[in-house]
Amino acid sequence: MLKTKELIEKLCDIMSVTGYEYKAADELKELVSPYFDSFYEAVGGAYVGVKKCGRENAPRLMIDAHFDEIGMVVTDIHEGGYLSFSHMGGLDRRIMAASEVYIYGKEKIYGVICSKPPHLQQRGEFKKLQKLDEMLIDTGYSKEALEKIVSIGDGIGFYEKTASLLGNRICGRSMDNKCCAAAAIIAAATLEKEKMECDLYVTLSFREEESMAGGCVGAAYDIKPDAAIVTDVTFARFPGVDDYESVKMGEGPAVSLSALTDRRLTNSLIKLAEGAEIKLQRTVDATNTGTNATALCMCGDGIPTAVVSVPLSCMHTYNEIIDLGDIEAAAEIFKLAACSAEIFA
Amino acid sequence: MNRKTEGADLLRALCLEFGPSGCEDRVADLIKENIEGSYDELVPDKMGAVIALIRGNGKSDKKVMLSAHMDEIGFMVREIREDGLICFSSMMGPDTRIMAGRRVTVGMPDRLNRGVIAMKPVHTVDRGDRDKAAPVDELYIDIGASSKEEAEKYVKIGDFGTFESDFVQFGENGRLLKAKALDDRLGCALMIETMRKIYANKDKLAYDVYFAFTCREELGMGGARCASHKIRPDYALVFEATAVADIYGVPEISRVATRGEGGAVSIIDKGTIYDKELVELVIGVAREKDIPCQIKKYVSGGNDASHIQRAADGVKCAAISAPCGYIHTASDVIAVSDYEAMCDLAVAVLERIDKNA
Repeated sequence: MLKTKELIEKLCDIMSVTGYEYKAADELKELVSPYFDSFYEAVGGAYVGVKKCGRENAPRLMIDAHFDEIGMVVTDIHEGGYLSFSHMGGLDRRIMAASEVYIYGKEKIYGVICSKPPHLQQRGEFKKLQKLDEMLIDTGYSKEALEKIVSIGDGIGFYEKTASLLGNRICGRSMDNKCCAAAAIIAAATLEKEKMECDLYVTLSFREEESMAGGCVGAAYDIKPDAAIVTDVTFARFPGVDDYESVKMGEGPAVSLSALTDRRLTNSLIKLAEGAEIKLQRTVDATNTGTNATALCMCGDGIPTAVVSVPLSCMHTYNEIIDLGDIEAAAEIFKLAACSAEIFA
Repeated sequence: MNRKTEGADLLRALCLEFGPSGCEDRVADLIKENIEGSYDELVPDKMGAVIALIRGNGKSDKKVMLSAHMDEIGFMVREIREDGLICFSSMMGPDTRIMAGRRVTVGMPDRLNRGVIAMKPVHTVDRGDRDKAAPVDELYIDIGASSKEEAEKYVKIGDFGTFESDFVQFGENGRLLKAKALDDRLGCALMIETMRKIYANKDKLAYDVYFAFTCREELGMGGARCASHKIRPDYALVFEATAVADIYGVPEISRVATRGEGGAVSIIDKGTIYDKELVELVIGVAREKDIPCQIKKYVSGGNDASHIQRAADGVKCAAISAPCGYIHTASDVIAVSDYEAMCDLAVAVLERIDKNA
């Protein structure tokens, strides 16, 4: 098994901009399939890793981590090799000027998002963010050469690779939600079959950043799970973010308390974590968890669903920050859930 | 470790080095290692500039100064919060759109740490404020510390910061370079390469040439003024980077220069009216030797020439700048061919001043 940081690095290296997740298939399969009994692509848009306990008619636990990341899409190609683009997922326009991207055309091309030279700006213009349709990407190609490689509709992702900060903390693009995907994969990879009380389905689903419903729904119809845990990122405490809508980084994952999530399943997870002395924080998301759980819980004839999230700073930037300890703690909780008959009670 | 390199490797090493205004030590050390064996004398400088002298053969009593600044735009640590986040002052103006979300290096020359310029998530910004840039006092450097106590082990008030940014060659046939601090490490690299070429044939050199790698240009303080005061050159050539505005949609009249058409020679900018004869000599040499070069077309910006020109009883100045996209960000972008043309032009101009002197 790879170390947690290495696994996250490798997952983040795979481009999976919302709408272009299909391009991740080969790389992801090669990286992840050894940790499962089987690995397939569900019709609705999810990669599914299955690990079975070996008993017949065992209950089914689904752990869903969306695998798509925010990015952009090419909308026009201009003279001088400049590209117009639009967003895939919620882009943070505060970080766009002079940032670096890859355009995924027939080959991967590097580009820089143009910033406006100061002499062309009106007084005080620096306080205003440009609209996306005013922004351009500089590719360094002529239009003719660029058109042979890039087409309108091609995906664009940010450039940053994963890097270390102090201690357990790392930063990079697409930590939302590759870090949670890593937690689910680590759980599956390190589970001992004889201890499992269920068949585990890890779904790495598509399109959360754009439609929320994503691919998890289609996968769920196929899997028909008896219980589901959605794992996604949540706001880490930060100046300007209310304490009640954020949790402390490095203090473990957080379970969501919400009208949408299943109370019994949620309480079982809390009990399991307490019993094993794993730190588990709480977030209150009364009417909306902001995750795939919203769609998943009402899927088919209903799926008892809980949400376990990981604190993350600088959400939707290319330097999202997480603490590896929180990921490992989340993985432990997933393992406990898979080894517990009570969560299905 | 031998850090002596040339060409793109030299440019890369210089750009990646940490050297915000007022803290240029690491760049100075790297430059000293690279010019070793290519000068006659190092001239001490009180402001921290590296000044190297190549002596001429004594046929002329004129002195020529080449100048490029070592420093880059940066930050300074202002306060460390209880939660371990770092408040900073910008040393690159107030435009936070080029700072927010970026990776940075923060510390002092002997202890550098990675950080991220963090801000609250966009989801928590009021709908009505979504068109506004993040105010600088709502940006923090996050080095991964979870408390003030932990952060203070690595970073102290008054520490410096710069962007962290890879050196990337890209575009059609790799024609462009992107890095932080190309402004003005490209000038430093050019001077190093020029020193190596000139020193090898220095018996042909009629006059003394001073190579001044200066500090504190980005703050407009002009460490170059003191260097110039000390050297008292007759002619000065400044090698720089300049804004371009050559992107799609910008009307021709607003463009400063065009990447890929050679170094831009300044006639006038916000700080200097350049010496007419010297400017004509530079352009004449370029035409004659068929070295690409262009006129900087827009009265904007400024550089060390304004300080050098006004030092002591005045100095005749010319400035040649690489057209640089997105200048003063973590992603300066220049054309490889412009840098190469400027290197050729520097040597050619030195040969010509020789004849005029």
